[in-house]
Amino acid sequence: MTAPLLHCENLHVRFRTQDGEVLAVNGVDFEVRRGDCVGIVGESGSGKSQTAMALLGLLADNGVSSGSVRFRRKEILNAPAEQLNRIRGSRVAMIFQDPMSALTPFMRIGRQLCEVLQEHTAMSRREITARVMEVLEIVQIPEPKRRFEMYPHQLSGGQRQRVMIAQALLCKPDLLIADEPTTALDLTIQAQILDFFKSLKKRTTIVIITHDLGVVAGLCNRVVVMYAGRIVEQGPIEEIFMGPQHPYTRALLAAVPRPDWDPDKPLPMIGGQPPLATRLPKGCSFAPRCAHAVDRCRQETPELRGRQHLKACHLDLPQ
Amino acid sequence: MSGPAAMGYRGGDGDAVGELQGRSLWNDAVARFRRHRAAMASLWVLGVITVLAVLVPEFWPNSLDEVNWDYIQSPPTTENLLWFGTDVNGRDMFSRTFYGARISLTIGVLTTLVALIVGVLYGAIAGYRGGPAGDIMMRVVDVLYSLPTLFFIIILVTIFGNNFLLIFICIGAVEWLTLARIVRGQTLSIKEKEYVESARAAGLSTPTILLKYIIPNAIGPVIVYVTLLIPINIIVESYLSFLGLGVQEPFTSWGRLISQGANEIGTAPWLLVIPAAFLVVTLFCFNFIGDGLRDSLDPKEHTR
Amino acid sequence: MQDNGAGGRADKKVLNYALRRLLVAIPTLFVIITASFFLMRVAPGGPFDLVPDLDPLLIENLRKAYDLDKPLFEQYANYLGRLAQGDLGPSLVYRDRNVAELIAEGLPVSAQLGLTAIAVGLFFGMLSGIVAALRKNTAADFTVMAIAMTGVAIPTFVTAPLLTLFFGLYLGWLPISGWNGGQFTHIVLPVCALALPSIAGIARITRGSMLESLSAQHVRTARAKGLPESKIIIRHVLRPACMPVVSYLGPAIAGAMTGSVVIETIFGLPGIGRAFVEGALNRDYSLILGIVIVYASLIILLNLLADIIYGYLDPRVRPR
Repeated sequence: MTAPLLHCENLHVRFRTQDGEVLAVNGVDFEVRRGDCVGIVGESGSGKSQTAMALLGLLADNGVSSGSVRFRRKEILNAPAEQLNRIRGSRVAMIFQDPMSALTPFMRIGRQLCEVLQEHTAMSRREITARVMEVLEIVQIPEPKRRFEMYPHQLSGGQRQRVMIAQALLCKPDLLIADEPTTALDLTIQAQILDFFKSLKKRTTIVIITHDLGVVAGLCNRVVVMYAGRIVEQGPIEEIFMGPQHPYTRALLAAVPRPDWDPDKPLPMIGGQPPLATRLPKGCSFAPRCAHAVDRCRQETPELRGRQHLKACHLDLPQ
Repeated sequence: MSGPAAMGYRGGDGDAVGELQGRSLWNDAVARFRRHRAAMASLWVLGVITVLAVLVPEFWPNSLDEVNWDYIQSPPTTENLLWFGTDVNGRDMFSRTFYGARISLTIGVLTTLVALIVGVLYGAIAGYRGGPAGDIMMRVVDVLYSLPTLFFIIILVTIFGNNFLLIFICIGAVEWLTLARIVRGQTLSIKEKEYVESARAAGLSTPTILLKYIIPNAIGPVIVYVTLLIPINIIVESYLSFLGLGVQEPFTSWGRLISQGANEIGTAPWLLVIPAAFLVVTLFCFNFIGDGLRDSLDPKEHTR
Repeated sequence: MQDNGAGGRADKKVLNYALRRLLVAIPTLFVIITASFFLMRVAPGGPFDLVPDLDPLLIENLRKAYDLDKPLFEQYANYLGRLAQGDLGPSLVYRDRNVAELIAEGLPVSAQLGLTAIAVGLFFGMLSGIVAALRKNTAADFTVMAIAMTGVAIPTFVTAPLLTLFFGLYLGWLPISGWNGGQFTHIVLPVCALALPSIAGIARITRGSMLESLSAQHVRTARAKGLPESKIIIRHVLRPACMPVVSYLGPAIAGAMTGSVVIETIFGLPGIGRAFVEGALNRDYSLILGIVIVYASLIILLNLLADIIYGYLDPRVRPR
């Protein structure tokens, strides 16, 4: 068996804040194989975005990460900036949630794209422009020549996100990490971008971070479910969707509106609030909201166990 | 300063702020202010200067305009209680410094009071009125704002003569602009609140609504700005006195003492250094108190 | 919205914008002139009251000579008429001098002093602010911020004599007064004293805006692109960090003007600031009025310049 493209082991992320230390990611293990499309799912505050940021050393300056992240067998967690900069933008590319603020507002689109290639390749100016135009065509931006000279605020939200994707694709990365790539967009645009991601799967390995199970359903082959900084369940998409084992995953799935959903009935909700990262409960973090919780859940933190389909739960719920 | 963009990228995407405590906001603010060491120390220092400014001119054996013929321009000495030395006319600098403190602090506070009344009323009316009238009122503020206020004060002082009372009316009449802006901004947001709507629905008159509902709720930022305006006005008065346009003999203020000290800088540096030190310490104290108040009244701001 | 980078068209747009802004500024200037004029004319007392025991007949003649006996509106109309031709009238105090001459003599001195101080303030203020932000919470940061706090809090009329005392008298390095045709050693102390508040203010603002700019989302994108830190700062951080500084230029210029009044008085420099104070002390109304007009025009022009720079830095607010 070949080594995975990305291997993340016992990842912890802490933030020093005025209210004390916040443990945002609390021991996360997962791996991504070449050709995979992995979805990391969770509510806001579950640590999914911070996991992604930590992988590439993009945490805010009050954040500290520990553990191990290996990309193509090389340790990259907390690696020196020079080493990370050889990977970032070229081998691993990233797409952010809000393309308006993620693009530099006072720089023309063309320049923002060209500087990636200038940094990572020895291409001539002309070759760079040609490649940028090529990628703008790939992401289906209308009139790429005009857009090239524009500033981000002159584009629509969907076009901006396409520019972000183009920026990520420029160096033909081995791995694409997308952090809520559709959340900030209108619904119709969301669908378009999502369709585009499906076509991207042939080009590269993708990790997509989202709170929306619908996004995962049509796109991914593996799912990682996070809650309160930990992975609670992970496995192949069919198994997670058809046979969810963790009560949290079940609750999440139940909360997704289905075509056969009766609009007169209330949408099922998960009662209670996710715990504050400063005050995690003892034992399983989900226990306070879990309908099935027993005494053991409130005492002992469950390990993530299993082979293909892993879960972190003491209980064996009936299907 | 820290906008939402800045907050978004600061770690922990969950809001780790605890639930609201049952304690009142006011108690919280007082507790936070007490923890602000620089502000508490400043409060003490200012208190001491104020007490001395009240007592020294009344009870100190050497009066401020009495000439000591044996001690013309004497450096600080323990003899005859001339702790701060004497000036070119042999007058006791200890007494003069605290008399200057009395004038400078009084003008600082009174001018701020004038500015407070004008600025708060103007801003509240402009904000509550809104519409074209409010816009015109704020355009006037903008135009005045773009000009150096000190020149206005100099013109006013030139025209109306340098009478103690007129000086602070002039300063106050010019320094209300920022207050008007602050209060207008607050008023614009407060007037949309339910309790103002209901007061209006209950048929209360506009002045009543302004005085009872709008102004009391806009007071937090105003208090902070007032503590910053007092030192500004002390500087303005000192500036005028320094140029000879402010307080006239036999009265004195810190600005006037500094001006006289600057003239004797080669022969009697203490005449400059002592009043300058008191002025600077006072300015710092007000700034620290302002910082402390801002941190304690609005903890969300100023996280850096 | 403009889109293609055709430089010529963009320049023309900026020019149009500047012209429009100038047209708006004219009424403002007019209001200032009118208000100042009438305030001074209705004021009790005049320049001739300062000389004791002046013959009433002489005063009457003087008033006639200076047009002060005419009805107020006629005086005003005359003043505006002459103003349109660049004539600011005769000085009421300096015999045989007119205000335009006095200003023409003083303005170059004040302009050299003021502009040098602003340039020094911008350079050192931004430099120390940037260093403080990049070395946040280190000794360098705390030192810069402590000095900046001191510089903001202490007024010019305190720092100027203290600088004189130390560098001029105690160390004897620099002359303590006089202009001497703007000779370098003569302008060092006045420029330092005048620039200190700007340095301090600009350093604080730059530090704050740098920190904000550094934590912006697009900086994280630039990191994710694999750009080295130096390029990130130069290309993606510095420009937005400059914008609050540009907005601060207006107040900084106004501050330098008020400061120059004190500085010129302390160092005995023959600029319009000193002329302004002397005019105020002597109640030379036409001189004061003339200088106010010059100051107001300068402030309007320099603020316009700051706005244009701002538009250049941020494409989103560029004039359409």
